[in-house]
Amino acid sequence: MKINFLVNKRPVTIDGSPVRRLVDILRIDLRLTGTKEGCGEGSCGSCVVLMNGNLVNSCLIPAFKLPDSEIVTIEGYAQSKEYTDLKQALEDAGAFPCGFCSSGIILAAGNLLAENSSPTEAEIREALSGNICRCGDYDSIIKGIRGVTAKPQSRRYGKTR
Amino acid sequence: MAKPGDLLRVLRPKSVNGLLRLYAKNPDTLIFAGGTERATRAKLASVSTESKMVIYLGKVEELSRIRRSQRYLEIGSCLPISRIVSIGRHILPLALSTALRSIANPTVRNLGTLGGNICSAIPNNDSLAPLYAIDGQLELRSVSGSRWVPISRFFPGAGETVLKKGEILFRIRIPLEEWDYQCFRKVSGSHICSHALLNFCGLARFSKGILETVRFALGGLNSTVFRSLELESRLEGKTLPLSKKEVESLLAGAGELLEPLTDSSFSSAYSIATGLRFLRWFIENIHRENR
Amino acid sequence: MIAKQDFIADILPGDCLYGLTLRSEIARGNILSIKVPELPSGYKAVTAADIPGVNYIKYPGRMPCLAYKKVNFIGEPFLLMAGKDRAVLRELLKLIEVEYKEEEPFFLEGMKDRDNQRCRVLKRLSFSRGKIKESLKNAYQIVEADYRTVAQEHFYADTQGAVALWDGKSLIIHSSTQDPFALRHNIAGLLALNPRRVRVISPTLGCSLDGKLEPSFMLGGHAAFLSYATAKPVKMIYSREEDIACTFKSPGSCITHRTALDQEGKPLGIQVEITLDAGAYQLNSAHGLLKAALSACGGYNCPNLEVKAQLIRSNRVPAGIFPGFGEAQSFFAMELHAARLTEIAHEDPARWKHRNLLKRGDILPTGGKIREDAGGLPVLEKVVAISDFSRKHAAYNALKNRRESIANTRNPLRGIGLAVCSKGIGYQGEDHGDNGCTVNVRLELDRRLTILTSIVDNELESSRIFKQIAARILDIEPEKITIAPVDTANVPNSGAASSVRTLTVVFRLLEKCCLAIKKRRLTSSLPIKVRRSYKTPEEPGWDIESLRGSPYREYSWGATVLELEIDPVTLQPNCRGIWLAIDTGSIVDLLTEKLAVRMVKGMVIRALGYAASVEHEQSDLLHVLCPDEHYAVPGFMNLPPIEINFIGRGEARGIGDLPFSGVAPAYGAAVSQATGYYIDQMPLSPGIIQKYMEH
Repeated sequence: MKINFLVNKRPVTIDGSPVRRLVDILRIDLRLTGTKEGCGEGSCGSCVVLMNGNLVNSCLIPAFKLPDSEIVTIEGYAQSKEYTDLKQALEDAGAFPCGFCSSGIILAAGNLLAENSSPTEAEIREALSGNICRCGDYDSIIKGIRGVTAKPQSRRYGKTR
Repeated sequence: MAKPGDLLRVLRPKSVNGLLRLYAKNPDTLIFAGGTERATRAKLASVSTESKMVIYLGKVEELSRIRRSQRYLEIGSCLPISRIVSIGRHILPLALSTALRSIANPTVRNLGTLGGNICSAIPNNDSLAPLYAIDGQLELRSVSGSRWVPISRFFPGAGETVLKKGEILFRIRIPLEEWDYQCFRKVSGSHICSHALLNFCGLARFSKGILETVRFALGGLNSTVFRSLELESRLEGKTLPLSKKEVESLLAGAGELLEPLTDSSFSSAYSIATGLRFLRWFIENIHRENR
Repeated sequence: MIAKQDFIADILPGDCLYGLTLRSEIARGNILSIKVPELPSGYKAVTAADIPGVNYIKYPGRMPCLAYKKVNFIGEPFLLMAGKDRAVLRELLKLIEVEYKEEEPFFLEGMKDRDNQRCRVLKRLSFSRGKIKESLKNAYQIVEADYRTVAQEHFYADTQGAVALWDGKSLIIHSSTQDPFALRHNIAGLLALNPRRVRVISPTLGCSLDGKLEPSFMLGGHAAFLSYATAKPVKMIYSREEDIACTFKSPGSCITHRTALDQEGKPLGIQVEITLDAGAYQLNSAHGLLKAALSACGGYNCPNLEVKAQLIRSNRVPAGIFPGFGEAQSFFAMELHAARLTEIAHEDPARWKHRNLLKRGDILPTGGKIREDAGGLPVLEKVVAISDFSRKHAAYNALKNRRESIANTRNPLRGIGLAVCSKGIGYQGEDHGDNGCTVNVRLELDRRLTILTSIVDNELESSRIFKQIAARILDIEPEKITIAPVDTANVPNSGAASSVRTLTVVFRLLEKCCLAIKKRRLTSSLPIKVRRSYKTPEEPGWDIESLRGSPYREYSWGATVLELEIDPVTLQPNCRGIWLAIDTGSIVDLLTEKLAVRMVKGMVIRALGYAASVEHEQSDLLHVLCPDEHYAVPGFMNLPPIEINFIGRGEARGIGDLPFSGVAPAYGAAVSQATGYYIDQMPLSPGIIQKYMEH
């Protein structure tokens, strides 16, 4: 099945099985290995990407859902100013000892901040409730997200209507 | 060698009529909506080998509508859960929105649909107990027409639905009634992708200290969602708060009805005992309004 | 750090094949025949018969790399297949016809299984002091109880994998292993190669949680073998389901405690019987047994004691190294039993422990004195102070006594538990791991410094600390310091990555290297290369046969308090707070307080997850469909406040796995108080609490 879609604003054409998972298309076919796979069933958050502006688990997206869709991975998000601010704040807080969960958490955090520029701790926990950090460094992550200076977001990065 | 999936055809109809015609012609096709039950790595591998055809519902616009009338809210079966919760913020019965917000985690809720939560026929799915309690109705459609089925008649047995070949769940109708007290509680196994082991929904309407209407449903006990009109009618008309004797009598009755529903497994003993504790907690708190 | 680097799953050489594994469907028996269908071109299957070298991995006990005829656990690998497309490989594997002859397996499911004739004992250890039989005979009261823990899953974030490239003469293998040199050694044996022809390269590792040792040799061996057989690069990455099915678990245990008490409730004699389940193959479990035996009596001062420990074989997935290997099981039993003793004595557990813990100058159960500044009392006092333990314990007891029964309670059931544990550092028996551990440092021509070691521990941020140590001693900017990529062709063998080794051995070796360079840099010409190795003392300070002497050079101590409440409707325990006081020497100077606290908090969070996992059928992990349902992996939503307090004196001693020894029994003791039942198993779940209520 031939599929055309956008990845990080670039047009991409994939020809393969219609049930090939987006996480494999990104990591293997497109060599965008910033997105990780930790569980294959949507419970760890390592594979999270933005699809048409919504945060989804790429391990649960078969190729046949992709035609005409827009995907933003961590590599795409990393081009934004929002990412730079968030990354700095997280590094200052000393987050991510090993970094495996960082892509998923940064996208989830960025998505939250785009909708709510000064979330409470409870709101941060709720928004990130689908991400796990096995190093257990939850406190630093929350501290980092709260440390991001609240700036008005003119549009949500990657969102299309 | 032909790879699995090479022979798989995926159809992406754009209208409900187109969908129903396709489905009527190919009734053994796999239906795919959000994919949160079907698209785990292990299950997706078997899709490509066991099916020749998949029909993807995500492009059928009519399945993602949500509409409100005076008496009802009607939700398309393919609207993602997170959209239902955000659009229906002020309209959904509190118990149902609590249940929907507790499904899995935020990213899975962006994909999963209410139709999937119902049609996967897993009795501990979180939407079921509230839908039973509020008397949700399901519209099923095929090329031959449409029919409405109350949710309580939708599951003839464990893992089964009454959907005929070529029939899909089109929308879910939720009565918009005033309730004085609503609750939804669940027990889940895992912290981060909470599949419920057990869930409970209770609703009550009362005036001048008299219970007018009571509903309660318990999900996760083996193969069904439990609801008993007989037990509910015992409570109706009673003065609040209920006496200790009335509570114990009701629980004894519930215990008798629950016992045969389960097998003798270890998790079952916990489920029955907790189900009864949910019920006790509900009726002891029923007089507290939370409109 | 934010991951830009490649983890093992991200490595994909060109023209690479994938490898998949066929695993035993039976727990015990023989493979009578394997019928492989005709494979398409580019696909190849291999079995044990095709292995050029020796068919085992060793660490130090042996297990087959691929089962040959005899299988001993569900999930044991016996056939490998490589090919271009993973989906095709999966289909081909399904077409293979295997004929098994099943035999009855043995599992350690409860105490009674210990007496089963079919229970095979692999190893026994025992020691005693004083007159235990007399103390039991003359006791005012004897308290006897059984304690059980089940095998558990590490659940690291990144699953295991290996990418092997054989070029006809030598092999390069990328592996997510914690011990690159042991992997190299094992692969050399498997493929009958000189170890110099095997090069192991480590990609970025997630936090391995001690799970990436023995299984990594197996997986690495498989990838290497397939690459050798196909003469192509081969990549093998476990899915989460496969990782849960076949990598090694913590050992299950059945432990019986028999304690003789005098009239005041003071222990006069402690008798412990330990059975540790090695699973299908022994591997490293003998060391776990030793650690379990040495921790059996906890930190208590008791004149008469007897410990009998046995390692048994069962048909489960083999036990592998796990945080608190052996010790966690022993401390679980001992500290829960101590909670029971204090309950029987109607005494504040903190006071009871204060009276009975070993003090300065006391003799340890296995010989050796508690040196000054060591012992459990300082951490006990600290943790009681910061958690307000005694007052809360008394208050919750009063609540419990006032309530009629759990069935009639509407309020949350509250409880608070206390555990004091020790961790031995610097094993003084026969060689184990540290001997020969080496670090190299080079001051280059351009005055940059390169640190060469086989250990990179991201959880510990070891690279950052290495740079800090070198920067401090040599007065160089950290930007001028490079940590060499871990590649067995370039770095020396620093042993397996473990936080204890890194903190107590590797950092010290690095310091020595830097001091040596400091001396030479003004007089010698560049580049200057320095090498320092750890040598265990000539005379072992401890004899394993007689168990006399001091098994460890020193001890770290940790005291844990855990407070929780149980929902009276769902019986779900909800942890409200965890306090941990640790005495690990001046670890905080070495790591900075922030890093040390972060590390320990991470361990506490994981230990909490292990204590509260839902129980599931252990003997068949191959067919678990939804792995996450079975592990209460803690996430953002359910974390209690955690307070860590370091009281460090003397040299840094290593934190080890103290949180893993303390959290589970403190949790169990808290649930005991909350419910009024003597808890005796781990993990706990609402369903298990329900079972206690019914019996």
